[in-house]
Amino acid sequence: MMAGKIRIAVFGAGRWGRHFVRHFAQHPGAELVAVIDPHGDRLTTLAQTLALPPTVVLAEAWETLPPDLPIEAVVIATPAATHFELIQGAIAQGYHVLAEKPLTLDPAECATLTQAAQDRGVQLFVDHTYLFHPAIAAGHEVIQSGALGDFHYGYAARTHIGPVRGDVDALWDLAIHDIAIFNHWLGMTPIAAQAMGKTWLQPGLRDLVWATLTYPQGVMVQIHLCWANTDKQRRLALVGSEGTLIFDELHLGQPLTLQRGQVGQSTANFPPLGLATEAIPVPTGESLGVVCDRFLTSIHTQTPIPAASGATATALVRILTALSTSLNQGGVAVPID
Amino acid sequence: MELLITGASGFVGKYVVAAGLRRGHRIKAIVRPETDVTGIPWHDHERLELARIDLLRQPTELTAALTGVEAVIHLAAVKSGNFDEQFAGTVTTTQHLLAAMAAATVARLVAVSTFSVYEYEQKRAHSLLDEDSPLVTAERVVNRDEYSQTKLIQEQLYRKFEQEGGKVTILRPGMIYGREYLWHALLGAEFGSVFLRIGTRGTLPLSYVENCAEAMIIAAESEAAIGQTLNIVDDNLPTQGQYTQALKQRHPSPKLYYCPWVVIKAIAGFGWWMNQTFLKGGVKMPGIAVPAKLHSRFKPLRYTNQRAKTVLNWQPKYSFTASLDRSCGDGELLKV
Repeated sequence: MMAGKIRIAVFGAGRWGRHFVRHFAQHPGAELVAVIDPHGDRLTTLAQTLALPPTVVLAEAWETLPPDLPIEAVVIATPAATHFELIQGAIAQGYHVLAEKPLTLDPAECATLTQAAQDRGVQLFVDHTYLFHPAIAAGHEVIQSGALGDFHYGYAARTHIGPVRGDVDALWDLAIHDIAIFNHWLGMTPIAAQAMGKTWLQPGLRDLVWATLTYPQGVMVQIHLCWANTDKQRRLALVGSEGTLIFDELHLGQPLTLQRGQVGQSTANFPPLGLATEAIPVPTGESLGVVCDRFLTSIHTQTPIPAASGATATALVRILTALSTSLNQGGVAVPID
Repeated sequence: MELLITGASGFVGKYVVAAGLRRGHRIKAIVRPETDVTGIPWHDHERLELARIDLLRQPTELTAALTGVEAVIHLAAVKSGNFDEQFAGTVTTTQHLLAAMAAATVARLVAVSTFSVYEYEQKRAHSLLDEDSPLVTAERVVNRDEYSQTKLIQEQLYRKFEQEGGKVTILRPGMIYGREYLWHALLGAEFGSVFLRIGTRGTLPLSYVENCAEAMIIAAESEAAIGQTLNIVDDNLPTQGQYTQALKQRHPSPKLYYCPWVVIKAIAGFGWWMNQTFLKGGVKMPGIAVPAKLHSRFKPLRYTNQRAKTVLNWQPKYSFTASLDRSCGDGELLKV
């Protein structure tokens, strides 16, 4: 078991990578030793903004890092298409890896990386950020208490105006968050996927996607994804026989609500029974900070964290792949093994 | 590794032996002296050694059988009969095994327990049952069946063995099903040729026998599993209704009648109250009319295998559909 600070290099200083740099530069359990990004100007700006110490090596490529740089773990926050090669290389070096989601764009590659990390005895930790969100953890406890009764169905909306990606469509950019939350809350993974979408901005890249997932036990979930909609929504709900649990990220101060109640079945007019609204207390805290803490813990204890494991990541990429297949086949139902 | 497996010719044991051989281990299979194993495809495997020992009546022979053994997977138990019969077959035999392990200085034990040791009646419907859920107490277990009673005592023996230096993993599988056992007790109750199905929407805590068997072998191999108690269920568990429907499509069904969970719960609760209030508990009620027993079989709850998957780095190999297909097909499942 390692002791003391974990020496970390961050690959990718873009929109998300800079947050990892910020967290690990300040984390008492980590020592940031390098930041690697092909855009030199981005590195310079980031170093100035975060007042990174001069001991942090800034490099435009992995190959230009000093060969004796003491690295124990790497963060991979580069575009998803580059993940496989980078992560495979890092694992081969014996580095622990914290990878931005999705792990890769191919379930077979995800499985390969998961096995490689296991064989090499290093942690492969995938940043499924929302699974470390305090509201999602609080919601999980509500569900585990039995408050929702039987699961009926779920729905989510993740819409906003930009940023628009040029490398992947709205499905691959946005859906993983809601799917991860539903999988976690339901304790199941879907057995079939269907998706339909529309494109306005870039040929071949859907700007709007309606995704439908069928889970075991007949639970259906619909997810609305769009990055070209000024009606910004971050809302997810799971409906049960005894209430609905709602996670509304834009409802600041009260993101998690349990609407209790059920349909009475003792009389023919199905009266509503036991209606009540309960704001579920949510501890404050930034998900990414929790992600960084848990990554370091998993290294020290040499124990994978289920929400971030390679197996969880592989399952999510398999679902996205099935949705993508459906999208390209006009919305047919695609079974998921 | 050299593994000793008790109950090796039983429903689950047969698959555990096969899983152990497939993973390259040498197996000492404990079977009763009178058991004919020639019908089991692995009976003449080169890495298999049969040891014909009656765990109840021949405890001293166990110590010799443990020579060279690195880990024991203890499956042998008696699931039917009265309390004395089940106590002898489950508790006394375990005492004999643990004493023999101590004498032979074999510390590593994978002990196969059951979901039947948990408290159900006081648990809220639809809540999560996991390894941290309360066990049924000694005061309340008297209202449960003999199997729960004896398995609870058996777990206490494991804890004591652990305190004395044993390296113990307790596995608690849910309902283990497979080709030999498909119309199981969590679907309802059998009355002659009639099967009374109870409930339809409750999640079944199923563990397909081949998935479960592999988890048991991995537990024996795993250092990380020492000192752990792990629930074993499959992924993506079906409801009672889905299981029945899928099974009926593949397998001849008995004559089925259906009773909703809420109805039978109410009937049993009322009957129990009447019996306790007016008859001082004088009437011996059938199992499904005793609330403690009824809840332990049919109350709708949620289940997780997260801890087992994490600790054992195990993944149930077969999905529900694949498990039923294998169970209802004619492929040889025990050939190694």
